Formats: sequence, C-alpha cells, structure tokens
Amino acid sequence: MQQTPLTILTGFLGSGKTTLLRHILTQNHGVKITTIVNDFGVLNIDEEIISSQGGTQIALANGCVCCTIGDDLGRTLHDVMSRTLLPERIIIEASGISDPARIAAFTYVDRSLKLAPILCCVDSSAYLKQSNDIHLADTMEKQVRAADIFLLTKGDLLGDDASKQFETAFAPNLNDRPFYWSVQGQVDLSLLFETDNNQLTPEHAHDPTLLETAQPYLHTKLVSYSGHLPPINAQTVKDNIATLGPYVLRAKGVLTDDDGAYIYQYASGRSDVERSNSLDPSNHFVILCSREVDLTETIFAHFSEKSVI
Amino acid sequence: MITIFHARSILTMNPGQDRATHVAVRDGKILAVGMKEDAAKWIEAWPADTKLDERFADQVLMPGFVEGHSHLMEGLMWDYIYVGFYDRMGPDGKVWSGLKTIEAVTTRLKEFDDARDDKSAPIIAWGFDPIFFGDRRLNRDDLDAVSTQCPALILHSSLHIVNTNSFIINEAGVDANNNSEFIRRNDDGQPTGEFLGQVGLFMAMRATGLDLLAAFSKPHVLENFASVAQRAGVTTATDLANSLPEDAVKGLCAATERREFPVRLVIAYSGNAAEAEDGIKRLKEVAPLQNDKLRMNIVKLVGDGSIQGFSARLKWPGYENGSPNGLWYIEPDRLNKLILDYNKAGIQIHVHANGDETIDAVLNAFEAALSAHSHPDHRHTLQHCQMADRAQFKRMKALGLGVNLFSNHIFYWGDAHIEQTMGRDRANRLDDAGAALAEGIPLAIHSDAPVTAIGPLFTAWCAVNRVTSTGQRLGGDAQRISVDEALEAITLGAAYSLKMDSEIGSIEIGKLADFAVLSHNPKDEEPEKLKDISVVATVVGGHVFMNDTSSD
Repeated sequence: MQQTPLTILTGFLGSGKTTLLRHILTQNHGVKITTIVNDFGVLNIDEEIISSQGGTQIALANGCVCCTIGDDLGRTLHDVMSRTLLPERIIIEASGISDPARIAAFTYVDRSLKLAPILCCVDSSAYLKQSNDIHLADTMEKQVRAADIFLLTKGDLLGDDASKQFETAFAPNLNDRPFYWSVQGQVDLSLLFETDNNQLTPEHAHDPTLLETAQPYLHTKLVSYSGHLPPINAQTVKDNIATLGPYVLRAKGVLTDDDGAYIYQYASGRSDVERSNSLDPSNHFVILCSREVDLTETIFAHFSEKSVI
Repeated sequence: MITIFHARSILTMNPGQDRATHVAVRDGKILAVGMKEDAAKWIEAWPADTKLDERFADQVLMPGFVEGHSHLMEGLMWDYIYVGFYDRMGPDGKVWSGLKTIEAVTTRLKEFDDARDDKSAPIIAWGFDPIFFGDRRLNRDDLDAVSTQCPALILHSSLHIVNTNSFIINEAGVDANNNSEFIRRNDDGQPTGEFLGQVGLFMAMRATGLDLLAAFSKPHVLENFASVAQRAGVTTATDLANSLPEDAVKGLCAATERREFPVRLVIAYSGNAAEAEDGIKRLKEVAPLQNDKLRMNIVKLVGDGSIQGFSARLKWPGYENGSPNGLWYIEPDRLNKLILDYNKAGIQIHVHANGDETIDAVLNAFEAALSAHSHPDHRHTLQHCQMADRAQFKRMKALGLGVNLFSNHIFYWGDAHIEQTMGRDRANRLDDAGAALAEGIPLAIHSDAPVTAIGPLFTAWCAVNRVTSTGQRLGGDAQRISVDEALEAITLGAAYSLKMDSEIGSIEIGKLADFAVLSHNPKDEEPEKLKDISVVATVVGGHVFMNDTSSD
C-alpha cells in the first residue's frame, strides 16, 4: 500500500516554524507537499505563486497545498487523505504547546500514513530562558524528547560566539540526534526529507555536490560511505544500523534476501523496508554519516560479519 | 393579548418585590408582577381578552434557569447509547439508569445489538468514565463480546478517550509495533482497545468511515439539546464554544426563529484556533443574524485540560498520584495576546481555566490586558476555575472578573479528587463558591453538559451541600453557600456572566417572560432536597413548554 510520509514540525511559539514552512513551500523541490498549519495568514505567501485560494486552503503553483488545522486535526488529516490526488508528503505544523507524540500516534492507526522524522525548531536566542520557565519547561521537554532532527534558529541574532556557546549548552539534549542551523528558514531540504532533486541514492555515494550543499548549514561534517553487500536479511540491516545509530544520518540500499529484492531506507532513527518484484537489486548500499570519522571499514566489516543469512 | 400566570408562589429574585403570586405577560415580556389583589385590579383595568392562566396555581414559579456553561454536543450525544455511571435523562424524558459495572455496560450494548436488524451498522456509546472502576479497564475483549461483526466504539465522558472493539483495530491494522503512550497496550504489546487523545476517533474515521461528529450540524441535535435543557428548567443555555461556520450559524438561526424552540441560546466564538482579528471579524459578521433567542457575541478561550483527565495545569506540588503536569491548550504568550486583543476590541471573554497554574496565567493575562485597555464593565469571566485559592479570588476581585464554577464536580469527581488528582487539602477548596461570594465576585455555577448532566437545581444542590457521591463533604461552612445564593447563581448570576441580566434572570417588569415551573418551593425545602424538586414546565417569552416526563 502506498504510504504518505507525514512530517511533524514542532517547536515553541516564535521558534521559526512558520518561517521554515514558508521556505519549504516556496522551494523548487518537486514534491507535492500538503501542509496543515494553524493559520496560513501569517505564512504571508507571495500572491504570485498562489494558484487558487479558498476559505481554509491555498493551492500553490508548484503543486503544494496549504490548509488550516481548524478545530480538529484528525478530521483535517482525514479530509486531506480522502482527496483523489493524494499529497506526496504531509507536513503538520504543530501548535507551540502540543506534544508531537500525540500527532505521531495518528500514523500508527492509519495504514495510509507513515511517520517521517519529527522536526523541532529551537529558538537559540530564547531556549535557555524558556526551558527554565516552570510553566513551559515540561511542554518543551516533550517536544525535545519526540524530535528526530533539531533546527536551531535565530543564530544570526546571537552571533558566532554565542551560537557556539548555545551549541554547547544544548548538546546534552541531543542524544546523538542531528541538529542544523537555519537562518531565516534556510536549510537544505534534503537534510529534512527526501526531495525529487536530492534523493539519496546509491549513485549519490561520494557525490560532492550533496556534501557541498549540506556543508554551509552544518556544524558537524557530513561523510558518506558506500559498498556492496551480500544477500542480507532486512531485519539484520535494521539491527546493524541501530547499532551504528549515533553516527548514521541516512542510509539507502537496493538489497536482496530470501524473499527477494527490497529497498532499505533509514532516516533519523527510522528504518523503512519496501519490497517490490520489479526491483533490479544492485546490492549497493550507501550510508551518510554525521561525523567525520573513518568508519568505512568498520561499517562494512560490521555488515559482512553479520550478514550471513 | 395579556396572559396572567397564577402560581402558588413566585420567587422573583427581585429584592424589591420578593413575594408574588401573579405575573402578567404581554408580547413575551413581563408586564406586571403582584399578589392576588393586584391581579384583580389588572383584570378590571385591562382589555377584555386578558387571560388568567391557572394551570400552575399549585406550583412555584422562578425565573427560568440560565446554564452559563454547556455545549450543544449534548444534543448529539443522544444519537448514541448512554453508558455513564449516573442516571441521566434524555431529550424524550426517558431516564437511562447509571451503569455500575463494566459488565452492565457491555450488557446494555449487547441488548442493543440483539434488538436490531442491521448488525453491521456501528454501535456507538458515550458517557463512560473509567475513574469509577479502579484497576479494571474496559478492553477490546469486552467490546468483542458485544460484536465482532461491526465497529463498536465507546466515547468516554471526558470526550478525550475512546475504547473500540477488535473490528476497528483490525481494520486499521494496528499491531504490536509502534510504541505510543496514546495507544494502551497489554503485556504482549497488543493494543487493549483504549486510545487516548484524538487517536481513537481518527482511527475509526479512517478505518471504518465512522464519524461521530458528522451529524453535528443537523437540526435534530439542536432540538435534542434544547429538550434536555428545557426539561431541567433552563430557558437560556450556552454553547461554549463554537467556531461559527456558515452552516452552523444558518442552523442556529433557523431553529431559534421558531416559536416552538424552547431555549434561548448564547453561542461563544471558539477563540483558540484563530487569530483575534479573525474572531472579531466573525463576531461582527454574525451580529446582524442574532434574534431574541440567539446571541453570538462573546469569545471563549481554553487554557488547559481537565483535572480528572490529569490534563489541567497544576501548581506545585502537582497531582496527588504523581501524574505529570497537564497540558496547556494554548501557549501562555498566545493567551496573553488573544486576551489583550479581544479586550481591546471590547468583546467579552470567557476563559476555561481548571488548574491553579492556568488560573494564574489567565489572571496575569487579564491584568496586562486591563491595564492596557480599561473597560469598567467588561464582565470577563473565568470558567470552571475549580482550583482557585483565596489569593486568586482576591486578584479576580481586583480585576473585576466574574467566575462560573463547575460545582457539579464536587459530587461526580469529589472522591476522585481527594484520592487521585489533588488530595484532600486542595479538594476542600474545589469550586469554592463560598470564597467567591465572600470576596464579592459575581458568581455563576454550571454543568458543562455533556460532561455532566444539565440540571441547575442539581448544580445549586452541589454548591450548597458540597458532598461527593460517597457522601464525603468537601471543605467547611466557609466553602458552602446558602440556598438563596445558589438560586441567584443559576438565574441572575449566570445572566450577569452573559451580560443579559437586564433581560433575564429575575421576574420583574420589562424583562423577558422566562420562567421555570417547579413542584416545590426551594426556599421551603431542606437544602439536601434541592436536587429532588421537579421541573413541571418552562415558559419562554410567555410560551409554555410542559414537561411530559414519564420516567416513573
């Protein structure tokens, strides 16, 4: 069954969610995204790129749609998923006080949705104050706990030194989850989810442009590894990747096991296996890591040792 | 034409004339109030077609009750099977007995299924509250025993949890993977059938097309709501809140324009999901559509969740049983902004604030908003306000705020509050009407139907007696209020909270002819009996609505 990936965008009021969404909606990424937002008035989208506008919905020229949550997120999501033309991705802008885990649970009870990495915007100029506010701390903690990827915002207000200090202060929250700085909503979208322009394919291994486009937004370095794997059970791949967890940002391969060919994908803590008879297995595997450490041998040795079915 | 209603006695709630037996009505309004001698003079002086209506000569008239915090959702719930713990009267006057065990719940549903022809249609029930059943949770096996051939779903009284049978779970493909705190699981990791938040309703909608709220704007929902309210003696009720979409407004206008519609409705705009600018605009748009039985002129904001659902925001030391603190339903910063903007625009604001942390946040917001833009008669009101302490009541007084307390909680969840949510110390001050009046704060009390049954005399009984369902008393004499004060809270007090006290809430010349007709005089009865007084009829704008209750 075709599953629509659902990205939850969480973060406090003023943390930059709307700015990021505006960036996502207006980029030429080739993905027909439907965003569900609190209020599209504040998105302030250029009229030039709006193709039509109704009471609770705006359609953009690039195929993206933007609709409002209204009173009932579940119903809105149901409406979006009941349309003839399904979105290729849904992004929900969670309200500043919502627990993203509540929204994530929707994907566990609906076969047509799959949970994509949860994005959390963190206002670097306000986070420390907010996280010490007894009225807000527990709500913020839930959002940080649920996140898969952090986007640190408003670093331009802090300046370089203070940004570095903030990274150090925020680091204990990371638990090996990646973070990127984003100024005015600018971020390489391929870091957040797959786009037409920038899908991670085996052919992308060591693709210098991928690294280049990513670099300016990263304080951590990005390295990719690739190689061929013998027939390997999908569960084994999952287990191995989980062991390497802290280092791995994304992974992808077209692999085989006893049941035939499958595409394996990994992004921010989640493995995804899709089987198809029409696949031509290359047994090529690529891993994108967030640390500049030479793991090539370790990684593939790791797989080879355990890959006997 | 003039009609003179004769009653055994009339509680006017007008301190200038507290004794009367006759009230004259013309054009839906009160023309005169007096004793038998006065009525004799009226008949002599007034036109020949003046009619003396004697049908309530053995009964007691009060101003029609005002339910200051209810939801039209009550009218929708009666489309489904009631499985609550306490007896409850439906729109047709039938009393559904409360169910004291989970087996009784499944038995009622099974009987429903056995009696019907189409066994594939969904079975939907409402009003269930797990807090009364200790460790025994309702699970999918219970509902599978009802049916495995159709979707079966029970909506909890909190409206925030549902139980389903395996039919829905299997259709949705929920399995042992994907750990989520919103999907309860057994030791094997399999879902137990209990789903928290909006997950269960979403699942049922996606997997089986079941949509509980689809009928919400159908005319019968309004009719059912109005009937339930009317049977309880209510002549003005509220819907807190409503996002006022086009079709809902049309339905409201059509229903209330009919003379036969038995209640006046006050609808609050639901402010949480929209910017103040949009809310102000919408209220302006609908203002010309109001009629004498329909007001749409206030805004409602929701600060937190419920105490019994552990989703209210509590101050230190938090929940008695160690549950994590509850949820903001709105960012405190956004609450500040919305209250500032609506207050600036001169729109009356009602804010749901259950826990004491939320009450603080709301008081801070009002303090800032009223310092920026002063409105001497703003009548902004805290709704529920269940955990307020004396210091908070004093701040309300200083800011000129009113309060509408959720007194029914004392009976329904008082025991649970002592044992699980807040402990005895704080439960003693739960819905502290005594403190509100002692501080001179305008007071109303409410049911929050469908969360609890609509019934102002019962609500008054709760505020007067302060006893829980097991007979424990919350607090001391300082927290209790007198019968007179409670009767004022369910009439003039609630009317004041809606800025309608110049039109309703007492029986005096010039006001609308809205009455509750009672079997007994509440002032003559023991305070413990207040809830047992029957409502015989109501009068709305001079039009009589008889209760044909046939429950006994």
